[in-house]
Amino acid sequence: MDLSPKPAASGLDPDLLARVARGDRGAFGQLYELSSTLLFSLAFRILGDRDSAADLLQDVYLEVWRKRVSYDAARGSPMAWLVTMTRSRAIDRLRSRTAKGHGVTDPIDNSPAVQLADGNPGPLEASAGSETRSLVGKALAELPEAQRKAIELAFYHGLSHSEIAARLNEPLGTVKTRIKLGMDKLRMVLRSCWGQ
Amino acid sequence: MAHEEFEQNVALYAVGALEPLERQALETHLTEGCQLCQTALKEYRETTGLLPHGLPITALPPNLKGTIETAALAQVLGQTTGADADATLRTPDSDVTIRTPGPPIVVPAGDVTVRLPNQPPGDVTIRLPNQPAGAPDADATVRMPSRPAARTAPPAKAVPTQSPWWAWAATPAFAAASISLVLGVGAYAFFLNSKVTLETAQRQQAEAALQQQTIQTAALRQELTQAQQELTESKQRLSTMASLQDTVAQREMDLERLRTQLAQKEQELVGLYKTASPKDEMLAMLQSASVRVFSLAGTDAAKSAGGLVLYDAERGKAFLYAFNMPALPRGKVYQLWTITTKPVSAGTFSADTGRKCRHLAHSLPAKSGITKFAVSIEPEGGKPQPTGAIYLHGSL
Repeated sequence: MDLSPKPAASGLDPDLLARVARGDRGAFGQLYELSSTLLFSLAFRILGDRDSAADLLQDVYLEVWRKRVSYDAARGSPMAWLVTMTRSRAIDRLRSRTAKGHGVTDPIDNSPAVQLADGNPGPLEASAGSETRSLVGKALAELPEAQRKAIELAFYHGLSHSEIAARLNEPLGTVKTRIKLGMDKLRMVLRSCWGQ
Repeated sequence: MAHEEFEQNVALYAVGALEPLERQALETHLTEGCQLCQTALKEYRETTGLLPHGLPITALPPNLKGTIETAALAQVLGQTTGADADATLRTPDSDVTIRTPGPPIVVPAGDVTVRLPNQPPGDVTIRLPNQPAGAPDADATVRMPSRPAARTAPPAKAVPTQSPWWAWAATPAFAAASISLVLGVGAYAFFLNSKVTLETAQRQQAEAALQQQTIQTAALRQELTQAQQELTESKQRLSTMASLQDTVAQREMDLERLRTQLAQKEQELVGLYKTASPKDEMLAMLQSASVRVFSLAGTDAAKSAGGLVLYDAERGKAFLYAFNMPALPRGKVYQLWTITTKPVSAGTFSADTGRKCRHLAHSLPAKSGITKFAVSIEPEGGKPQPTGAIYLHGSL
């Protein structure tokens, strides 16, 4: 049994992605181990069911494996890249599902994005990643409710600022400002967590 | 749009909150090379990349990793549906001599077509090393179609960029699936055959690994089934044991009951022995050689009465049997007397049903020379000497 601590999910080594790109199956397995819990939680949050989230994750990892998408270190950390890609694919699916007329659960009343780790932490939690989780949870909790809600509706529900304004019955400019202010604050507070 | 406006929109772009037109405009601005916006976007992306850490952790499906790894392996094995591409490589006008491990082969001038199956869109570069001394390596670039193309699609032309194409050991830079050659040149067939053999071996190896994993999975599944069966059997055994325990408890109770009954019966037997002994004693005495019989006759006080005494002088026992005895008044008993010189009491007794009497006298003086027996009526408890009327008497 490997007792060495796993690095935090936010601290993926860019070299690992380079090895995956060279067709290293071991590296591919390692990438999965280090990132899947976070990506699955994200996909589940957006899509709302485990089967869809699992299906999405399979697509994301195979895209990475096939080099259909390639990681460019100049544009950010590997984890931010994976999160952006997973979020983007999930929102695409959510929109196509909505277009097909499937019901969408109310994003506001359902499972708030700001929720600290429950009493059942996985291996990811047991690692250094829990510190990041704690910091992110705290940063989100300290954000004004209206700013956080606007960010959540955009990030997890794929709503544009005008859609958010319509949903919350707020002026368009107000929503844009809230997102900008909220993002600026998070960017400042979470700076220490980047590129771990 | 002014740069400041774009800068405002970068944060919204990172969380995906821009309208399509705004998004396109910002993307154009970014590709135009605005460093400020690119840096800001990178930082916002790092921030949104951290957002999922604020979500509750959702447990992964246990089989997901296996599914993804199997799909990835299937791609290594070239089982995806990419486009086939034909690359035609032009040899120089003159013949080419090819070095082989065996004798050199002369390739006639002409076109060589390489078929590349399952290629993703993009460029494939084929490096042609081992040129004649002094000549640099040659690269041949083949552009793959962006959509899956039929095998009848027009072949892409590949022209050597630096030197004539006469390499005998072309090594395609891609390490994907097998390569089949369609060419009229035997030597290329020889080389590419080796290449195909190598690729096939690698593929077979990967397939063998997959098969091995499948076998291991099947074995594990079988173990699981077996364990489940054992569990079921154990459960059954456990329930059988429980019912056996009940049975044992029941049996123990039965046994206890039987023991009690046995003790009771033994007691009854002792009692029976005690009550039944006169008769038994009589039978035993009849079988004894030393027994003598005294016949007893009724006196005037009991004319119809009669009886006999079996006397075993050796053991000092006497058994009396009497009949038609007069009814005993309340507070009275019969008393048997042995007479040598004077009467000696041999115990008291009462009448059975039908006015018959049985009485066994123990502990008579042995070899005492008894010559007479008599029965009298006496007060309850008996008397040392006869006081009442004699009912029976008899001698040898």
